[in-house]
Amino acid sequence: MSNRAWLFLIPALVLLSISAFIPLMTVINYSLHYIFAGSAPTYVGFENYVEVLNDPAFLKALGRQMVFSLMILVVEVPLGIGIALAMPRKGKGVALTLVFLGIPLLIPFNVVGIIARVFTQSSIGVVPEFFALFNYDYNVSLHTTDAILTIFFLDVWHWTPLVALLCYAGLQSIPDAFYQAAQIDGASAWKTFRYVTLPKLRPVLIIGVLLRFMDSFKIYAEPLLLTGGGPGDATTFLSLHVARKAESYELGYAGASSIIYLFIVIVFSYLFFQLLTNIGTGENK
Amino acid sequence: MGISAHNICKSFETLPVLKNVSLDIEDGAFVTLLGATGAGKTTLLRILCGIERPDSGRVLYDGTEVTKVPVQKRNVAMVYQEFINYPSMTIFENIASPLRISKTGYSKPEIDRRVRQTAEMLGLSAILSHYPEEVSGGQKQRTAIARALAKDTKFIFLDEPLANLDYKLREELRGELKTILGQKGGVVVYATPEPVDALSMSTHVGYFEAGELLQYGELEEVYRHPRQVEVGSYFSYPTMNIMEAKIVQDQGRTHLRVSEAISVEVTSFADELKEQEYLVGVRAYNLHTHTDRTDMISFQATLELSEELGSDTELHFRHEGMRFVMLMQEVVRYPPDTTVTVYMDPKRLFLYSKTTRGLVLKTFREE
Repeated sequence: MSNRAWLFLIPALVLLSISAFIPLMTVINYSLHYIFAGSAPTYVGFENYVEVLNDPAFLKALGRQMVFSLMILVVEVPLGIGIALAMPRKGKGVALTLVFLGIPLLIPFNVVGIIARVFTQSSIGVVPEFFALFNYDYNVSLHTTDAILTIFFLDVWHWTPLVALLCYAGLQSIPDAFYQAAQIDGASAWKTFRYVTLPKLRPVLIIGVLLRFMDSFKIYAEPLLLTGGGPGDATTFLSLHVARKAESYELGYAGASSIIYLFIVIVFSYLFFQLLTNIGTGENK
Repeated sequence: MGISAHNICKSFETLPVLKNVSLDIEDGAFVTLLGATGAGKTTLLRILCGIERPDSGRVLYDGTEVTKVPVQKRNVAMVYQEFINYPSMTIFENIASPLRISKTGYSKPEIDRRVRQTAEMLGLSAILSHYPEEVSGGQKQRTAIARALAKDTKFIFLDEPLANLDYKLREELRGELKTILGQKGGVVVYATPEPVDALSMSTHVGYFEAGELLQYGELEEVYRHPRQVEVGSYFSYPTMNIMEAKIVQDQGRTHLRVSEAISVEVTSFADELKEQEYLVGVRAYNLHTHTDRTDMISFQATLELSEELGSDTELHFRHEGMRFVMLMQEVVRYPPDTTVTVYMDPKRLFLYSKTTRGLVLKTFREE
């Protein structure tokens, strides 16, 4: 590469180093030291990592996070496909449905959290009122199930449209001839879905699954605003746990757990990617 | 027997795409539905095979009405312009898929035998365990054709199957399709905008224009005796030259005058020429740049474009505002704007009525 080419790369490299490289290096540096506010850092090697991996609070948060993210995938992906299949393929309905689906995506995380908080407030919220009709005492700050399911429902409401829109775009790109050919072969609706629609949707589904996995694994604002991670630690997901530690100035612990966190996201994303890319191709004969 | 269509009409919203089309396809026929894009050939093909229903009219298979029978109950096969295969199945599974679904209930060894036999015919034996994504465009389309052939059906429909292939593969498959589909018997209906496809493969041709079937018949009949000027002009490679001409009487002789230089004596046909104006058609290979014959009509024309096509040359001329194309079976090179003497064979002309656009007479008889 000539020198001039480097010149053009400099702005991008500077931005990238500020936004990613420097913070990451800082975190790695923290993770290898014992730091407490004010005191001088002491190098401790991998001690922080050992501590994190032996911390029941971290492991519980991780387990909670895994279950939550898997639940998200299991519900949002099929639901998204279903919505996409049910959407009109032409006519005035298309624009209307797209706008309708797009609205949740436009709302920022923290606003979603605040909306949820208002809706679920025990004295004024509409949700507790609604459940009261069935004699159910809905209370997110007291009942674990209520809190978890509310956050789960929020995420499904907020992000299923993304999966649906991706799938919708994918469906639009399948030529009619594929469906006709299946029809001529006498394939049933299920077989047509299984052998035409699903394989043709694979590329967008890979993107959808990865995005939803990574994003749900990072869930932060909603539990924080709704219950602050409670009741107890019922909705203290991984990012909330890590942030708590950083807020309480345990920077070494926070650094180490961040790196482990990052590692987990990368490994699982890679596994999902491999799995989805290779299903039904020559790779897993 | 075979396929019959009676008075088929079809409109998309308010746009009529088929206007009262009727045709009878005999068993064993390889029918090409020829016409430009939007002429209605594909729509008819889809109605014949059952993907689409006509607004009115009837379709019969072997004398039994099937107009309202859905496509999955008709036992037909179809090959599309796009290479349609099941992406998550191997080539083998793809070819086997219609057999597995079939109500005939083929046994496993029977399916295996049929798939391998069909694959052999289409040169797919070596790639049976591959997935469609891993093979070339030509092989994908071969797989789609194999799927249609493996199915035990009498009626095969093909909608521009060669359109997305590159030249060489197209030539190759064209040759093979003729043989393979010919062996199979039954009825083959093939929609294409390419006159060459029709000429090289089919036994029968139907020419469509603006939703009407202008002519349907045996290949040779349609080619040699194009009943409408549109048929003659389209079903010819390169296109037929069409000139406007007036009848001129001169000292008891009748001439068809196209221009000062182009004037054809038609005294011997005078009885048949009742109108004042005609359209004169001459095929590109009946124009020449040199001749030994003395009865040729000669005129001066300016060369606009010369295309060398391997061993042939296509020359495009202009003469008094009219454009001509000439096909020469040799390589000739002229600089642009050269003035060339063009010889036209007066014994190779088609005369069409200017009002009805129907064929009035030919100035020759077939040898």
